[in-house]
Amino acid sequence: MNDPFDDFEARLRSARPAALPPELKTRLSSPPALPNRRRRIIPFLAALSALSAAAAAWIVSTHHHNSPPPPDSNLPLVAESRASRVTNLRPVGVVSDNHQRLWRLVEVAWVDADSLVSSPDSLAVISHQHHRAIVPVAITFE
Amino acid sequence: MSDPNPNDSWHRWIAECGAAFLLYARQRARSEEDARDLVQDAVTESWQRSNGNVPDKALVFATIRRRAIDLARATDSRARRENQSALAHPPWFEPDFAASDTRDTIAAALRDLPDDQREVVSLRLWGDLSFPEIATITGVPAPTAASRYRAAIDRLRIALSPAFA
Repeated sequence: MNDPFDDFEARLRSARPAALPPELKTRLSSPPALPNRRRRIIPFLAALSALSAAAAAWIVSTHHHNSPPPPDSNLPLVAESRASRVTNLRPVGVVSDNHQRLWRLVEVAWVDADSLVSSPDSLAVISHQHHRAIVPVAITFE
Repeated sequence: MSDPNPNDSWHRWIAECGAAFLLYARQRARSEEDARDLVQDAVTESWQRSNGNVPDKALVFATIRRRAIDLARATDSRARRENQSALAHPPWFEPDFAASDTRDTIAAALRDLPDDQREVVSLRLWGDLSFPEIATITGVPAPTAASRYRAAIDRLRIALSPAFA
């Protein structure tokens, strides 16, 4: 697609662009430092840590909202407790919103461990429920 | 992998291509200071994106163009008018005492071209880029870039025929 330059074009090309002014030469006298990759990773790790805390808090609050009603007085007494634990965080992708802000979608996996202990004979039953959800996390790159 | 001696590569690269980058930046910027800043920012960004290796020329021209557009958007119209008058002074080409009038005439003829034609001519003749590369930078199909170039050369041929006679 590129034809060779004809005489006229060659003559134009012979006009060499003006040299860099000394002031700009000085500014470009050494190569720029390469960015430290760790600096880009740290905000992401910080976001993931914050996400862990947020996910745990969200799970706990969800649990409190969904607490079962008090048991019937005729049923045996049991003590119930729940411990939630984040088991995995996996970045899924990056999306932007209407304001061009970036959000990282992270898949969160967690386990609810429900313990039931009967009252007089201390019989314990533990059940595990595994959950998974996609959570958006605001991110800022340098 | 980075170049074993990035200092040498950098200096060779700037010496070889810096003037062409500045010529293009001067055509895109609204002041001489802006043009110099554009070159510095673009070569720095391109160098870093290439991990300390000599970047592709087309990448630098594209970066200058993108940054010039961003800068223009951030500049209000009053400052724009002030800067346009300041742009008239720096010479676009190396002085050649045997043909100084011709250099000035070429610069003047280039300034008279429509922006899109001047851009293609500059990238082709002094940036030494192919039409597909120019098309990528300017966001038009390669045949459009080629036809703009041909139209610009035709205009320049007419404008410069007395000087080149």
